[in-house]
Amino acid sequence: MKATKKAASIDLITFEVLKNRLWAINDEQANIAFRTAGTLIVYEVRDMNAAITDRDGRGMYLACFNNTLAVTVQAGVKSILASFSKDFIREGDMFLFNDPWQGSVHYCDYTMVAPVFNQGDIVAWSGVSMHEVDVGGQVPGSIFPLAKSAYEEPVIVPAVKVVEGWEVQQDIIKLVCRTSRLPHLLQLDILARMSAIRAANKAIKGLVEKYGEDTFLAFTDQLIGHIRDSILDRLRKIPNGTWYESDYIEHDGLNDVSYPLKLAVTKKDDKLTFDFTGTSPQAPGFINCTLSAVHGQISVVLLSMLGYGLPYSAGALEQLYDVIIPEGSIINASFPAPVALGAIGASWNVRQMTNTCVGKMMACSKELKDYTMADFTAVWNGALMAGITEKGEEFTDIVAEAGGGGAGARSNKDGIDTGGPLDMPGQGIPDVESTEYNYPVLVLWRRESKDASGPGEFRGGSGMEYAMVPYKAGFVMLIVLTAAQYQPGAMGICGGLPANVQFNAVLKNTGIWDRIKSGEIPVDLVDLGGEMDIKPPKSMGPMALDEVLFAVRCGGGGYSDPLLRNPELVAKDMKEGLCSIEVARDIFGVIIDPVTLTIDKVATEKTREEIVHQRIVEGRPVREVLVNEKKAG
Amino acid sequence: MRKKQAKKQAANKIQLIAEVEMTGQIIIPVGDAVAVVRQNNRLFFECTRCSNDYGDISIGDPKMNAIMREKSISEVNPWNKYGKADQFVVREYYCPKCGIMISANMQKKDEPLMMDMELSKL
Repeated sequence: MKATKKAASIDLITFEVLKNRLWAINDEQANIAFRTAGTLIVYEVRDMNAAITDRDGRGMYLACFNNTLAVTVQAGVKSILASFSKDFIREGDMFLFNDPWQGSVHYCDYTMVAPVFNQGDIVAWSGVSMHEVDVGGQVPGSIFPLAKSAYEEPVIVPAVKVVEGWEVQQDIIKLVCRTSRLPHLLQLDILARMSAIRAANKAIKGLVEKYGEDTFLAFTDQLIGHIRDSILDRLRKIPNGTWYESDYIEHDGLNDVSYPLKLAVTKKDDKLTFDFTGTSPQAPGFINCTLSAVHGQISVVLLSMLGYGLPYSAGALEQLYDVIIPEGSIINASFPAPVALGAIGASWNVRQMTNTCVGKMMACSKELKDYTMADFTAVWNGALMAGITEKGEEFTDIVAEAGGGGAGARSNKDGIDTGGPLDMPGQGIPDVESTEYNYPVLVLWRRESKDASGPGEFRGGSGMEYAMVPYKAGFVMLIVLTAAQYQPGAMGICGGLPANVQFNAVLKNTGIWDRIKSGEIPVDLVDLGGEMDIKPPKSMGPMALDEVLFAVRCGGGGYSDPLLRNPELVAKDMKEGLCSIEVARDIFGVIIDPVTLTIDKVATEKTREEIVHQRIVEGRPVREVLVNEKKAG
Repeated sequence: MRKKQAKKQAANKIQLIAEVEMTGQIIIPVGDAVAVVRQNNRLFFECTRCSNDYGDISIGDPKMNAIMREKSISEVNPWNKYGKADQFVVREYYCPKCGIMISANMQKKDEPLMMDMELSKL
């Protein structure tokens, strides 16, 4: 690679043409990746993403699927540039890695990146990351809840050339796939990454040839600068100050302990500082994460909440924020701490706290208040059903229905029901038929759940509930990997309340198969009956073939006082099965006739007045509570 | 588009307590229920619904002069009875004059109160 060229400024028309062309290339790259992939979690759920960086690895674009994954492309490229000599990186090379200390979020998220060369110079990089169903290790799904160190987790692959000089390295692919219980699917996904990167890099190279290298390099600097300045303009509309949030993650697989996390976000002039002081040291079990996951989570919140309307450029954020996290923290784990849950472990709490702090921060800006959002659904309510079908074939179902959480409330509108997590705007859940076609299960029901959202003048989006039973299975093991089960996981802001807890449970003694054989399909928990056995948030064990898996997912946090909610909206929620009569009365202060579902306006007014009166009579002055806290030490 | 939407929402807004005229000019909103206002060169937090004076901006967070109640998490959502309702609480903060809720934090029962923010000197 030649010495850095001084980039000249380019005209606005060329800038816009290149900006939109590269944006389209990134979109096409992501589309090729998921359309050619082999696993349901990628081709239908789209737990993947694609990104384009500049020659130094500064992220310029990421597509709209799993955005945390795409930020790993930036971290991976920077790590490769730092680890290898310039001569080692050649045209036609593609690197594959899953090392959480080298950019990956956790082992299942294999990322592939490749440089774009022009006349001997690296001019850009592109990459694709995908969640793999199985990358080996002690349990199907590769997230072993009882691991005590990284050496008990799946094989760590630092960046290796999986393609060298356009030659596919068959031996490397065989080595990587040999570790998996589903090697054929992993191989298909590796090839999908290659196809997407090949197409993107060819298109980028075409642009460089058409416009010239100097113009292209000038464009990359200008684009990142333009996005940075646009976000900065928004940041400057927020007063200087510090915003606080705290959270917990329960159970590390080995110990049933709740680990605290704390965040203080300080906005001073043109800079944000994310200070995690007070956050727990790393846990003995697998809920830890590495710095790459933290940067991924902070970036997705900032890009979603302050970078709207712009290409998602993680590189543009580099000069806008700093982080303070001691090494050896639960969110900056030192090797060889176990980190297999990383992406859906403690790193997710980082996103929750960042979402809430930035939401509160934006609510303090006249210009940005209309764009603020409360916390989106809590951590992935993970459950895996794995085992053997009645034909003796291995299967692993990452019950991807768990993606159906609710979006955070906006300051002028409810959150989107089952809108999904903040970082996954383009992610979905599988079609019921796809689930039943791919895995030995029968889905009994799934729906947006009653009371599964954070109340507020504008409520959070509703989370989903679902129930499924093994069908034509020989043996099933249930692995539960969730959090926000002991405490709500999505916070409200500005007087809005947090959403519900989430969990996975097994229903026993329901007589499900006799009922199905007689033509009866239970439609909800009451109808299903039986005994509910709520599984610990991290657990694994066999599941009987007549047991039903039931799960409820966390909704989004609410915005502003629920007593200010329009009673008509509460009645509408009741009609749609999203709000119970008790929550309407006790939380929203709205009295609705259970039969006609009409609002009793007089009773509603009276109830709301009584609730307000109760608040004033029972409320203790905060200063008094603080003094008592101090006295108590 | 957004203005239109906001107008529509405002029309639907239910008046819990009669909104009164703010004492001063709004400098910084703090959500919808509180604002930093300026009057006679004094900057202070004021309730947007009843004009309660929460105190000078130097207190950092209007919660300092709010009233609060602590509830078990199971009191705010029926699903929360399946969580650790004996360990986790929701702390609700209200305007001492009109009772509007300005903040709600979920915390462990034995944790000290958490502030939401600390505005720097303007």
